[in-house]
Amino acid sequence: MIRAVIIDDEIHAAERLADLLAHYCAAGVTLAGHALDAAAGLALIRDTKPDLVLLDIHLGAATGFELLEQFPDPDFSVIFTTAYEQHALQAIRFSALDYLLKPVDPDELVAAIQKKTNLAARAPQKASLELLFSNMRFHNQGLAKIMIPTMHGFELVNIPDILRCHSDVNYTTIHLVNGDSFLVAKTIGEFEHLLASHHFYRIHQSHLVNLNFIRRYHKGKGGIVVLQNGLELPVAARRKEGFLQKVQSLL
Amino acid sequence: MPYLSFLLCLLISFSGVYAQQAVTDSLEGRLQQPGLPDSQRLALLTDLAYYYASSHPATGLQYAEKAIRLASQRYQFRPLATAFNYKALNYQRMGRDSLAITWYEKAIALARKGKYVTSEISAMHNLSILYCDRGNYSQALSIRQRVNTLLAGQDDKRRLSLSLNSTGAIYLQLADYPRALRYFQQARQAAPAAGNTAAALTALENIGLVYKKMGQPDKALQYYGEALEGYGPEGSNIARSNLQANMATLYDEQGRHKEALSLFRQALATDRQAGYSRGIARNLTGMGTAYSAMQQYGAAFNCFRMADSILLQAPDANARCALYATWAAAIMHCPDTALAAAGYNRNGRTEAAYALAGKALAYARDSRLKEREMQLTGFLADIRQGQHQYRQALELHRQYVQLRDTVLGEDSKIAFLKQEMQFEADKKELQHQLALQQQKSRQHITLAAAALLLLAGGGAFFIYKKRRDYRQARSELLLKAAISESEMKVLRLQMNPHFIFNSLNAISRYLLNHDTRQADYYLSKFARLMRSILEFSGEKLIPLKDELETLSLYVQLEQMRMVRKFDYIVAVDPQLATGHTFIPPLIFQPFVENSIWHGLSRSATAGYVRLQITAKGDVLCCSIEDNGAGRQVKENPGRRSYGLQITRERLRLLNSERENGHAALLVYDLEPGVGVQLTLPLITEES
Repeated sequence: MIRAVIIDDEIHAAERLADLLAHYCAAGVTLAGHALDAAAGLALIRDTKPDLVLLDIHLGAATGFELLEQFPDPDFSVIFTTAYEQHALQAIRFSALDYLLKPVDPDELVAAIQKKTNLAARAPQKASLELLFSNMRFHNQGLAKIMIPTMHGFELVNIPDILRCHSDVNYTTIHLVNGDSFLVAKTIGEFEHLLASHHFYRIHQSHLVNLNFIRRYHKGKGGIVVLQNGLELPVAARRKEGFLQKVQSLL
Repeated sequence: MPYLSFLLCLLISFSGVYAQQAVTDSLEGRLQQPGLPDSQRLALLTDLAYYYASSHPATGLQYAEKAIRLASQRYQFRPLATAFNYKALNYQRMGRDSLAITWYEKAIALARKGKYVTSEISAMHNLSILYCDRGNYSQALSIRQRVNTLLAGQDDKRRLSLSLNSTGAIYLQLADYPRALRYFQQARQAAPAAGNTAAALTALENIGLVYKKMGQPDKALQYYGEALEGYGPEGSNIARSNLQANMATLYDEQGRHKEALSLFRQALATDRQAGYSRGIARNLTGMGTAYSAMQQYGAAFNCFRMADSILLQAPDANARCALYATWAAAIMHCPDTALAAAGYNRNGRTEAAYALAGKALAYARDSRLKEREMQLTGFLADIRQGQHQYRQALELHRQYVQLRDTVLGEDSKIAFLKQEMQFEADKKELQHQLALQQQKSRQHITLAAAALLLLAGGGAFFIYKKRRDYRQARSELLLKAAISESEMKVLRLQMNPHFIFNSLNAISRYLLNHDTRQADYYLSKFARLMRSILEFSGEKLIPLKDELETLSLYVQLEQMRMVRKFDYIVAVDPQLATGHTFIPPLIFQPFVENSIWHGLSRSATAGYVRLQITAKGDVLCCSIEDNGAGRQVKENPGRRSYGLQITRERLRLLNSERENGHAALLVYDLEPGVGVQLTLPLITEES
C-alpha cells in the first residue's frame, strides 16, 4: 500500500485528485493528507513521511521545486502535477520524472500509480531531481548551461559550447565545439525544445545545429549548411524556410 | 468601401460634339444634289468627314479622302489642310495614332505654309489632345503653348478659352494642380462675357475638378454649383447633366448620399430626354452606388440591372467596368436578407461577386484602365482570401502588386516628366539671365543644375525603390503568413464545433443525472483531447503515434456519448515505426467522425470503424472503413463533404510543398458502409 500526500494550492484540484485516488486507486493507495501551500506541504511531508508526493509545480509564490529542494535525499517518490507550464514540463521530461497534466485523466493516474507500485524499490530519484533542479536553476537565472545525463553520470555543458546534436533514433549524440562528443539516451526532440531559445535550429530530422557556428549556406532544394569546422549538413526541404527565417532573425 | 469611390471618374470635356444621324443624313442628301459647285461639294465632304469622325470613323475617313482628292485636283489648299486634319481625326478615332500624327503634321505644315491660321490651330489643337491622350505630355504642352499664342493674336476668345482649358487639363494630368488652376482661371477670364458661355462653364467645372483633386471637396462643390447655375434649369443639356453627375459623384464620396441621389436623378431625367444612353447608364450606376452606401440594396440592385440592360444596347467598356465593379462590391457588402430579396442565392454570394468583378476586370483591361485593373485585382484577391483559397489569392495578389508597380511607375514617370519640364523651363530662364553674364559661369551653373537634378532624381528614385521593395516584401510575407495561418485555421476547423458543444452538453447531462463520476471521466478525457489539438495546431506534421493516441481519445469520447455502441479497430502495420513516421495532424479525424455520425449512428447492426495503416513503397496507405448506413441515405447535405473538402485542400498543400507528393483521397461505397482511402507520402527520416 502506497501512502500518498497531495500538495496543490488549488483546493478543487487537490480534492478532485483525492477523490480520484479514492475511487480508482483505493486498492493501492491511501491518502495521508493534503496541503495547500509550500510551508504546509513541507510540514506534511515531514510529519507523515509518505511514499509518494503528488506535487503541483505552481504553489502560490513558491514552486514545487523549491519545496523539494528542502529534501537533499528524499525517501519518497514524486509525481508532478501541472496544468500548463511548458518549460517546467520540458525539464521534467528531460529528467525522466513523472508528471500528470491537470485535469488529471483517471486512466493516466491509474497508470502512473501502477508504475510506482511495480517499481518495488521505487527507484531513488535523487539523481533525476538534481538534474531537474540544476536545469531549472540555470533556466531561471538565465544561465546558458545545461546538465545532461549520460551513461556514466552527467555532463555539465555550456550551451554556447554545443556545436550540434545528432540523432540516432532514441539516442542523441552531443558534439561540442572542442571536438568532444557524448551519447545521451534522449531523443533529439527533447534537446530541440530545451535549446530552442539558445539559437539552435532543427535543420533536419537528425540534425540540431547551433546557428552561431554556421559558416556558409548553399542553396538547393533544402540546401546544405557548412559549419565552422567544415562539416556539411543537409537542410530538410520542409525546414528550409523556417531555418532561413531564424537565421535572418539573428542578424 | 474603397472600391466604390473610384467608379465614376470625371471626364474633362473639351468639346461636346455629338454626331447626330440627322446632321450626316442631311449633309449626304445635299451631296446628292446634281450640279453642285466643287467648292460646296468640298465643304460638304469635309463636314461629313468631321461629323462621321465621332460616330463612324471608317466612313469619315472615306469622305476625308474624297475631299483630299477633290481639293488636290482643284488646288484648293485651305480645304486640303482641313481635309488632312479630318483624315487624321478619323484615324485618331480608329485608334491608329501614328497615322493620325503623320496627317496632323501634314495639315499643320500645309496650313503654316499657306498661313491658314485657323486650320493650323485646329490641327494643332487635335494633335495636342492626341499627345495628351497618349501620355506624351511634354509634346502636348509645347504644341498647346503655340496654339495659345496664336489664339491670343486671333482675338478668338471662345477658342482661346477652350485651349487654355486644355492646357490646364494637361497640367491636371501631370498632377501640377497650381498650374492647372492658373490655366483654368485664365480660361474663365478669357471666355467671352456674352454669347456662348460654354467655355466659361467648362472652366468653372475644371476649377472644381482641380479642387476635388487637391482634396478640397467644399471648394470643388462651390465651383461646380456656380457652373450648374450658369447652365440654368432649362432644356436638355448634356453638358449640364454631365456636370450634375460629377457633382453627384463628389457628394457621394463625401457621404452625402441623399444629395447625390437627387442630382443623379436630375441628370438621369435630362439624359433620358436626350436619349444619351451612356449618361443614363452612368447615372443609374451612380444611383446604385449611392443606394448601396445607404444600404438600400433592393433599390441599388434595381438600378444596376437597369444600367446593365441599357449598356447591352450601347456597349461602353468604361461604363460597364464601373457598373460591374460597383455591383460586385454591393453584393459582397449587402446583408443576407437583402441579398435574398434581390433574388441572389446566399451561398452564391462570393461567386456572384467574383464573376461580376471578373467581368469588370476584363473591361478594365479592354479600356486600359490600369488603376481600376489594379483595384479589381485586389478586390478579387480579397474575395479568394475570404474563401480561404490562398493559392489563388496569392496569384491574384502577385498580379495586383505588379499592376500597382505599373501604376506607381506611371506616377513616377509623370513626376519625372514634370521635373524634366521644370528643368527645361528653368534652363530657358537661366539662359535668358545668363546672356548678360560670362560664358564660363553659365556653363558652371548649367552643369550644377544638371548635377543637382541628377542627384535629386537619383535620390528620389532610390527612396521610391526602397519603399516599394519594402512594401512588396512585407505583403509577400503577410501572404505567406496567411497561408500558414490558413493551415492553422483549417486545423482548428477540423474539430467540428458540434463536437465541442455536444461534449459540454453530455457533461451537463451526466451532472443532471447525478452521474458525476462519468461527468468527471468524460471531462478529463475531453481536456486531454483539447490539449492535444492545441499542441498540434502549431505543427505541420506530427508523429503517427501521437495522431493515433489523439484519435483514440476522440473515439473514446464518442463511444461514451453515442447511444448505439460501436467498435473501434486500429490495425497498423507492425513494421511501421509510429514514433518516427510523420503525418499532418488530425488528418483521419473527420473521416472517423463521418463514419460515426453519418454511418454508425443510423445503422441498426453492431457497428465498427476500422482504421488500417500500411506502408507501401514511399507512401502510407490508410483506410477508414465502417459498416454503417452508407452514403445513399439522405443526409445533412454538406457536412460530410465539408470534411472531405478541407482534407482535399490540406492534401493539396502537402503535395505542393513536397516534390514527391503522393497525397490522394478516394471515397468508396461498401456493402454496407463507406470507405475512405487516404494516401499520404511516407515521411520518416528526411531526404
